[in-house]
Amino acid sequence: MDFKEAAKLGSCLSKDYAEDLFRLLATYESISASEAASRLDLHIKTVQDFLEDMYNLKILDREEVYEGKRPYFRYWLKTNQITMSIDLTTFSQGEEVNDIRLKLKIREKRNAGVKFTTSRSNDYISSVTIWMGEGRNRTERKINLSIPQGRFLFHLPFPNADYLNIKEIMRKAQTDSTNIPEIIDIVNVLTEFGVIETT
Amino acid sequence: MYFARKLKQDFSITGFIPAIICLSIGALIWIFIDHKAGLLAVSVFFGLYAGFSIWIFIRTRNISYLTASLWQLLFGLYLATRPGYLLIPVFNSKITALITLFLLASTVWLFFLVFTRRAKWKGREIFELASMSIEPQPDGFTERPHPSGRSEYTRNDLIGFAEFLRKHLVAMPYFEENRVVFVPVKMEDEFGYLFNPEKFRQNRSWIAFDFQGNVTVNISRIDYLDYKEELSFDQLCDNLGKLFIEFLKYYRKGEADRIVNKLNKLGLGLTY
Repeated sequence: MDFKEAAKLGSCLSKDYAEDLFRLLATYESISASEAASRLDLHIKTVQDFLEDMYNLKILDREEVYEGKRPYFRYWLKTNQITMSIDLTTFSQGEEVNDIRLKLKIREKRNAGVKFTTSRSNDYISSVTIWMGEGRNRTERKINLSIPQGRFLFHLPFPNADYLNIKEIMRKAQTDSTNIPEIIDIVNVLTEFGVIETT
Repeated sequence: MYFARKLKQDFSITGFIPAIICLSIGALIWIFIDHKAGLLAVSVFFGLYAGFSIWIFIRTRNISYLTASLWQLLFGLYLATRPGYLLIPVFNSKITALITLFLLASTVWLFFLVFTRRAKWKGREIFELASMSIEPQPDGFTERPHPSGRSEYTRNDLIGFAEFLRKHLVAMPYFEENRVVFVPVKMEDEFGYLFNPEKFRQNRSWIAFDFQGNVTVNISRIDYLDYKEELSFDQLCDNLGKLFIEFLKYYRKGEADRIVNKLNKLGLGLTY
């Protein structure tokens, strides 16, 4: 199951009426949206959407029937169990990290217009606040940092200083190589927001 | 020692404000009431001023404030007891003579301390020294602290160093759980520091030594704007850190006087 499907399933299962609907589906041989809606005193559209979502997720099956009126669908359970399985390792950016990325030379961009907040112990940056837009449309975006990210940014070269590569900054910041993905991630984000510049 | 000054000129008279207030109020009382009341008012104000100087001495342990306090007290007593204008009955006229003698002696001592720059808050010297070899380079300012490297010292070294810098008005220490933060105070800023040290440090530059040997520098916007030109910011931070690391080395070698000599050699004004 991919993440989008899992999110949709999670969303459906979290509905107040989901349990009652599944109880009906488990009890009836097949049921239409109108029957279920009248039985649970819900709006037919609400039930119709839920059943369609379940059908798209391959949890229900359906059949179009004609009984002298407009055709409609009857639904029944296709499976007796729902298993949600998501492979979280696919989210890791580790595979993208290679020597070329670590050799990327960076420094803080001039007049970036951001605020770096230091931790209470003052040995790492705890958050970066970025202001975007102009006038009334000006918005504030605050990014809270993990400790390795904060240590890394604490050692980021100043706007006038020589560029340093990520590996060298990590050495200065004494961050572990296991933190490379999250550091690359924050470098990407801050580059996108114009806080960090590269050679 | 000649060098191109990087800081803007400052002709602040902050340090003289209490004395000017004392004398102005005394003069007004002299004009609108009579001269005896005027002298008595100045005498009382100088007595209070002496108390204020003692309070600064307790905060800084700087000997010049103790001397100033003594001088202000003696000056107040002198006004109150001088021959012909006796405001307080003095049974023995020798006491008046003695007060005059002590006043003259303390004046000499006070002038000595002022001219040897022992009474000077040396923040300007610190910033001048840190910027001496730095070239202008615009758009470098950032509010991030700058890690300035490591140094070797013990906790006791650091505490002793902090006391030394405070006593000589080089930088005021703030003792925290895991580090000591030094805030250089310029001549016109001393009352800001004295009356509310916590608020004062919020937007000032600082140099922090933690107990693991890490040195961190932060130059505030206020202090950076005090330079005539936009200097290379990373070099400025680096130099400020190195300067304090060097000072700490002098202190550890028992050559702490070199710190004060180095600052005094710049020859900045006595009152700014």
